[in-house]
Formats: sequence, C-alpha cells, structure tokens
Amino acid sequence: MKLPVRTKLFPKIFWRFILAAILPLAMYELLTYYNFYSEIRNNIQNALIATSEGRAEALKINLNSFKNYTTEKSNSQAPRAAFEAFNAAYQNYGLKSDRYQQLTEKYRLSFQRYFDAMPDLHNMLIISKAGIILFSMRDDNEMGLNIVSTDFQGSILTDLFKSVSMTLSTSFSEFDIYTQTGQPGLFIGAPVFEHNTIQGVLVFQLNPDLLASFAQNYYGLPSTGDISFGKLTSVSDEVMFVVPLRFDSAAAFTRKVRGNQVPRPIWHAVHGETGIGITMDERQNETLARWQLIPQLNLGMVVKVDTQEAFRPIRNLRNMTLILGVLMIGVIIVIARSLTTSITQPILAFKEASERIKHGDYGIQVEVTETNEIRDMAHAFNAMSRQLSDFHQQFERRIAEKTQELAITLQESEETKKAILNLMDDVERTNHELQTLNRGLLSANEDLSNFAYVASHDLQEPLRTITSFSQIIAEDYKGKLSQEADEYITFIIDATSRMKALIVDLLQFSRIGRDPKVHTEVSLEKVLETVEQDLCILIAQEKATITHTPLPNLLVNQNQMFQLFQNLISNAIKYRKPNHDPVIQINVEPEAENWHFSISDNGIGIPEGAEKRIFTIFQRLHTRQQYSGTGIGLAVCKKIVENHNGRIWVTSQLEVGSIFHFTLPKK
Amino acid sequence: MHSKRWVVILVLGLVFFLGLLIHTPIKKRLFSAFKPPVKVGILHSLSGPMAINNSIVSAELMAIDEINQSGGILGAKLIPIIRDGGSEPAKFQSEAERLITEEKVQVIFGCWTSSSRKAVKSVVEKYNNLLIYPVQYEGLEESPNIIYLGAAPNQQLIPAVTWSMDNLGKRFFLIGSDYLYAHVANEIAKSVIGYKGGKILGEAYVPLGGRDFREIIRKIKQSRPDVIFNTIIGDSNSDLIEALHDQGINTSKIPIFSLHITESEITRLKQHLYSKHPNQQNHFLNEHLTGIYACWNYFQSIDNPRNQVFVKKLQQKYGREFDITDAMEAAYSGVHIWARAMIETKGINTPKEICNVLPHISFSAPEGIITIADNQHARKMVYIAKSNAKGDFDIVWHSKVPIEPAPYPVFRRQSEWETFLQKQVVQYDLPDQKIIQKTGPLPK
Repeated sequence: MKLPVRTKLFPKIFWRFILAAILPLAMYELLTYYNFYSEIRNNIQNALIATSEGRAEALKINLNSFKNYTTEKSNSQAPRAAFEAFNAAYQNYGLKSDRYQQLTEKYRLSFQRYFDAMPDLHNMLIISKAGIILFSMRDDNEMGLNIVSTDFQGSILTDLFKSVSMTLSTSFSEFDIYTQTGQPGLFIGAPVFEHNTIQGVLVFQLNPDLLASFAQNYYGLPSTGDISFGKLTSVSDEVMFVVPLRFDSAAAFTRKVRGNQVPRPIWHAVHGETGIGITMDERQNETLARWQLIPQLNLGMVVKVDTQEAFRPIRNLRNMTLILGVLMIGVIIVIARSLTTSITQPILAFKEASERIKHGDYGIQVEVTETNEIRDMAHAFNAMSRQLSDFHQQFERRIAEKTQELAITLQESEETKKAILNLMDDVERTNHELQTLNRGLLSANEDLSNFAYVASHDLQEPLRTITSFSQIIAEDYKGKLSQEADEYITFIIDATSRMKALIVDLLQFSRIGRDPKVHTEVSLEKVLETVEQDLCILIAQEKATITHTPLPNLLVNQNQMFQLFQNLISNAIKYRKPNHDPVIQINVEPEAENWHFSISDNGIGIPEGAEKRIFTIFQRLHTRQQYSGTGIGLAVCKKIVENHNGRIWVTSQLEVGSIFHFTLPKK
Repeated sequence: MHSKRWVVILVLGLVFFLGLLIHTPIKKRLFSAFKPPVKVGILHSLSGPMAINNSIVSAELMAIDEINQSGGILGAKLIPIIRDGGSEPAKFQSEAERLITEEKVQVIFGCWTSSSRKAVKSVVEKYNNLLIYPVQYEGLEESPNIIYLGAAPNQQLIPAVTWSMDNLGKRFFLIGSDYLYAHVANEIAKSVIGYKGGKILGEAYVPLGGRDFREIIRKIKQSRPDVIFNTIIGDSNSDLIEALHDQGINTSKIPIFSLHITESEITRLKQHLYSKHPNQQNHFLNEHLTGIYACWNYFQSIDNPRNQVFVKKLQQKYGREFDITDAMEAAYSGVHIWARAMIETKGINTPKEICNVLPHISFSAPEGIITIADNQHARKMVYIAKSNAKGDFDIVWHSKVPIEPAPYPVFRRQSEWETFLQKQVVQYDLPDQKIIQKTGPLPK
C-alpha cells in the first residue's frame, strides 16, 4: 500500500521533535561557545598581560641592576678616589694639563671593566658638585663643560644632576633626547661622598638604544604584536612615543598622541593607569592593548596585538561551532524525519485501512514491518478486520433471510390492514351512533332533572293546600265524623307530610345538579364540627360516639359537604343495632390524587348484593315502619360526591357494620 | 494542553538559568553579591599629643567609601574598624594585636610617630599582617609587613636640608622632639649639612607634647642661625611658632624649615596673631606669617585636576576650613593602593602576595602618580613650599618626577645605619629596644 509522506500529523511530530532536540542543543552549544569564548578571551588577555608584565618586570630588573650598580660604584673605592683625584687635578692643574690627561687615560683603562661587566653602559661621567664634567669615558670634548650653565639648561643630564644633588640618592634621568648628542639618552646618577664632603655625582649613561631594543624584541609576540613606550611632553596632555613602533620605525620622538582626542592606551599608561582593552591604533587597526606605567622612568608602556590576529582562536571556535551546529541540525532533521515517519507510517496505514473498511472493504490486512507494539496493534487490527469481515458476511446472510420473511409478513399485513380499515369504519359508525344516543340521553337527563325540579317545586303548592285542608278537617271534624273517617284523615295527613318530605328531598336532590359549582377552601374539620352540633340531640339521644382522624381542607362546595357528612352520619346513627350504642369512626387517607374518606359504623350492615342499590333514589331496604326516611339521602350523597368528581361505595357485613367510602380529589 | 505548555516553558527557563550559571562572568557577578566583607583596621592617635591626626582617619574613611562605592574588592565591601593608639607606643602595640586577633582585620592603616610604627611593626611581623604607614619618617627601616606611603629621608628630609643650604644659608640651628624620630632625622640632616659644608650652630630638643620653648628660643636668639631646622612633631609645633613670634623671632628674618608643619599649623598661627594683635596693620601680620618652610610630597595648593577633585571632596565632607595635609593624602592613597593590590591578588592578602603585585600597582594620587618601589616605599613627588602673607603655602620647588625612595641614605652603608639606629633606639625609645632586637637584622 503506497502512502503519502506529507500528512497533518507529520509536521506536528516533526517540528516538535526538532524543537525538543535543537533548542536544548542550541542553548547548550551557545553556552559552551560563550564559555569557551570568554575562556579563550581571558586566556588571550592573560597572555598579553603576562607578556606585558614580563617585559615590564625584565625592564625593571634591568633598570634596578643599573641603579644598584651605580649606587654600588658611587660607594666603591675607585670612583671615590677618582672623584678626589679629578677634583684636585682640575683645581690644581687645569683640564688641559698633562697630569689631567694622564689621570684621564688611567681611569679610562681602569673603568673599562665596568663597561665589560655591564655591556649596556654607554658612558660614564664624573661631575663635580659644582656641575663640571671632570671625566667622560667616551668624549674628551665633554670634559670641562659645566652642566648647570646655560648651555646645558633643560638637558636631561642637568635635571638628573640637580635631582641627585637635591635628594642625595641614586636617580634616573628622564628618557628623552639628550640635547648634546641629539640622540635619546638615559642617565643614572648617584652622589659620591669622600672625606665627609660631597664630591659630586657619578653618572652612567645607558645605551641609547636600550629601550628601543627592549621594545623591538618581538620574541614570543604574535606577528602583529608591538611594544611601545611613551612619555608625557611639556605640552599638556600630549604623549610622545619614545621608541620606534613596529609599523612606524620613525615614531621615536616624532609621533605624538593627544589625550583630548580618542584616549589611546599609551595615554592611559603615562597617566599611571593599568588596564587592557580593545582600541584603534595609529594604523586604524583594531588592537587588543595592555597599558601600564614603567614607574622608574615615568614612561607608559603598551603591549598590543591586532585583534584580527589575537582573536583568531575565537574566530576558529566560532566557525567550528557553526559548522558543528549546522551538521548537528542536519543530523537531527534526518533523525526527526525517520522517527516521525516510523510513527506516522503505521498510523497512516491504519488510517487507510480504516477508510477502506469504512467504505466496505472488510477483511483488509495492514502490512507492518515493525517489530514492536505497532506490530501487535497491526495484528489485532488485522484480526479485527477479519472478524468484521466474517461478521459482515453472516450479517448479509441473516438480512437476506429476514428480508424474505418480511416480504411474506408484509403481504399478510396488507390483508390485516384492510380488515382493520373495515373495523375502523364500523367503530366510527358505532361511535357516531353512540354520540347521537348520548346526546339523547343527556337531553333526557336534563329533562328529567328539570322535570324533578319543576315537579317538586310545583307540587309543593297543591300539597300545602291539601295538607292545610286535611289538618283543618282533622281539627274541625275530629270525632264528628265516623271513626273510620278520622282514621282516614289521619292517613291523609300522614301521606301528605310524607309527600312533603319526599318533595323537599327531591327538590334538594335536583338542586345538587343545578347548583353553580362554587368551590371555596373548606375546612372539613369545621364541617364535621357543625354537623355534630346540628345532630347533637340525636347523638345524645342515641348515645353515639364519633371519632375521626384529622380532616383536610379542600376546595369544595361547603353546603354540599354539610349534606354529605350529615346524611352519612345520621344514617350511621339511624341504622343502629338495638342494644348497641352506635360507634362511628371517620378516617381519611391520602391517595395518589384523592383523599379517601371512610365512615364506619357498628350498625346493622347491608345485605350482600344491595351495596349498589342503596345509592339509587327512593330505594329503601327497610319498611318505613322499621326505619323512617325518604330513601333519598344516599342518592344525594352519591350525587354530591360525583359532582366533585369523586366516587362513593360501601363495604359492609350484615349485623357487624358498614363502611361508607368516598373519595374527593386533592385539587 | 495549557499545562503542558507551561511545563515546556518551565523546562526551557530552567535550562536557560542553568546555562547562565555555567556562564562564568555572570556566575561571578551573581556570587560576588554574597561575598563576606573585608575588615580593615584604622589605628591612629585619637587622644594625646598626636591626636591631631584625626583628619588622617577622615581621609582613610573617604578612600574606603570610594572603594566601597565602586564595588569594593571583587565585590567584598570594606568595613573599617577604628582604634585609638592614644599617642602611646604600648597602646598602639596592644590595639594592633587586638585588631588582628580579635577583629581579624586584613590590614592596618595607621600610626604616626616612628615609635608607634616600630611598636606595631613587631605585631604585624608576628602575625604576618600588613601595616600601611602614611607619614614621612626618618627612614632606616624596611619591613616586609609594612608599606611606607610617607616620605623616605631622600624624599623630604634631605631635599629640605639641601634646598635650605642652597637657598637660605648654611648656618643651622636644629630643634626637634626628644625622641627617636627627631634624633635620627637630625643625625641625617647633620650629615648632609656637613657634606655640603654647612655649620650647626646649635641643637635642642623638647619632650613630646612639650610647650616650653623659652630656653630654646633664647639659644636661637643668641646664635642667630640662617635657618631653624625643625623636626618637632605633633601639636607642639603650633606652640613653637607662636612662641617664636611672641619672643621676638620674625620668621621672615630667620626662616624656620619644619618637617612637620602643615597648613593647619599656619592657620592656627594666623588665628593666634590676629587674636593677639587685633589692631595691628596687615603688613605686620603678613611679615610674621611668611618665612615658614615646609617640604612635603603633597600640599593642598598643588595645582592639578586630580587634587582639585580630592580637596573639593574632602571639604564637601568635612567643611571648607578643613586643611588637607600630606599625611592625609598619603593615607588616602595608601588605602587605594592596598585595595588595588588586593584586586590584583584576587583577594589573597598575605603581605608576600600583596608585595609581589605592588610593583604593578600605580595610583593617580592628588600629588601625582604614586607607585611602590621594591623596598615597599612609595615613589613620591617632592614639593618645597614657603608660607605667604595669606597664610597659604606657595610651592617654591618641586621634583620633576617622583623620586625613587631610599630609606637608607646612600652616604652610609645600610649596616652602618642599622648600628646607629640600634644605639638611638636604646637611647631614646627604651620600650622599643626589645622589638628591634627581636626582629634582628632586616631582610633584603
């Protein structure tokens, strides 16, 4: 299976790997570079400092040896004797005398050993305390000159002479052009004492090229390395080079540097500073320079080397670091690519296989060359794919079977459907008929209700007339007619009063359905209380006991509730067993949507099969003689309960008692 | 996803931080912040006749301040511990010992008077500690444990004598404090005067802190010298020049060359003259103010930018009337030079290490560039000045370049000087005798 290498997953893994690998590496390399860089830089600087200090130290040792030599000689026998001899000869015989010449010759020979011992000595002068050169090793013409006279004024020799005379200690002259020769000069002078008096100053002149040869000794310095010396001139802030420079052999006592321009290392050096830094030199080359003071001579010394050369190791390091970095990045990219591919390749293979499965190519196998968890995964995938393929085949077969079955069923159901349609037609028809019937029934019911009302209402008037007149007859004609007639009249009055009761009850009954449904929040506790009060005579008379559980408040018609409870309680008292005091228990139990009320008694009970009949209007189980009443009470109860969307029924056991149940909805 | 990103950032940050730690210069800077401070002792007379060197302490403290402000010694701050030597060599010795053993100071800046220096010398040599001595002295000493910032004889005493002989006259009357320094200094002066054909008319000494100059002045008046050569030290000098004036010696007629008179003594004389002669004409006062000569390596009036900054800074700190003396400048420079040497040795403070690097140290001091020679004495400029009518010093001569220090004047051998010194020690500074004997012949 051929796979595209570039995927969405590839760059995500690839770049993260690159980042994770290169970032620390780059950081590490950068830090290493900087560490090495500062290390190398330090080394280069330290090497330069060491060179500079070494040269300064060598120069110091050199100068000290001259100084000590001069001091030593000023205290030695021979020079002291020479001073005395020359002083005496000068005063007694004069410079031009033979004696003086002989003395000169003698001491030239004698002092030659000093020059053999110290090759860098150039000349030796014996100067009287008055400043007259009594002896010069090199130059006869100098002898007899007075160095404090105007000719010499300002020469370095004069200054040295004055300084030595003043401090009576060994001193160096300045290193400058010695006006007598026009050459650079450097003198060391020491006072000479003999016979408790100061004889003069012994002066050694050093080789004029001493410092230049010191400066031009480039041994151990790089090819651009240079050593230079400079001194402050009488012009303020001006520094003069006193030795040739490597790249300017004519610099000595000609090339100057002004401090008010860019401060140069040599300027720092003569001002007593010690330091190292990168500056531009006179060739406008960038140089690493070390500057310091040579205190004995008041000279600044600078050792410098072009940064181009000095920092070559740093450049090499940088180049190497760069090349190494690029190589590493290359290697990392290759590794990252192969690593990423080794992850994405299988994933892509799985993806491709899944796609194929999605498109129905079940049973496809993933080829994997890996030997790790990916191989396990591939095996699992392949197994799954095979299973899927098997399952799919089974499924196909099953579906084919089921489809056939379904076709048969479909045919059957077509017929059933027709039958059902016919049935539905019938039902509709029946329904229609039922509706018509129902309407008739409703209208009949209403008529009946209206009739009951009208009848009972309209019957009251003639009944009252009959009653009134029958009573008049009974009062007026009692005993005047026959005994039979009296009896009959009594029957009439009885009948009329019963009729009246019947009518009143009937009216009441019919009214229940006609009452507007005025429902208010009613406390059944209060209702029961009122009923008990109304029936108090009866209760007392019959010695009845009424107990009840707490009754709820309900949204109901209050009057009807009075009627309901009154009818049921009075019935319970009325149908008592002889010799048994009535015990009435009223219970309420909540049900899902209703309150279930039950009123139980210990009365005579109701025979089996009469439970429904007793709720029918004017139905009585007993004769009027046994128990009085119109037989309308329970019908009223039923109507009230049903009017409140409740249900009423009775359970009873003959001679034990009855329980009247009714329900009222909670809402 | 979010938390993962934070982890990545955290790890990168950690790597970066560790990298910084590996990076040496930053590491150095980081750790230098936690460097323990370096204790340095300051030991001068804050009481007694030599108590006038309070101002040296001020200069040393200013230098310490400057060093601390520029980052201390490789990041370590200097903490000065100040002790009073009480003008007593014995007290100097015990205080120096306490500074080293109790306070663990790395160096002692201090002493004035050779007796106190010699007392402390035995201590710093015993504990291999270092004393930086800021005052001119009679020479004849080299200790590996002392760096001498003051003038050696050829940097003050000898030029003062030779210049006086060339410019003032050859007849000298020597006066000095009756103790080691003045006797040795006068011995050297007498030699020079002798070598140059001069004459000593008289020699007289007063006790240290002495105030009674009547006898001496009587002798001076009698001998009428060309120069009074004065090696009296301490606050007696003010009394001396006041007494000279009071007893009718006009320094413009008989000049006095003093090795220890500074700007502050002239100022005191000026105040004295004004209080004594409130109604006198100016020229009278002026006459009496002139003719006092001094030779120092530094005068407040030296005209160079470095000195102007130095004077301004000190006067800002201690007031415009603050007189700045040679010893103050040397003390100030001594602290700086020691600090530079400490930086050069990377903080290793054995005297050997310090002295090894000293030849490479130079300090652009108010007097000029100061460097230290192999004998641990400073190369110093020499200035000779004369007091003017305003009571300031005018420079009348100065060396062209710093003078190489020569603690042992060349006209005698070192061994001769040492024999001589031993005798002087026995004679004038008995308490110091055993110190000298204990240390024995000096190294080098």
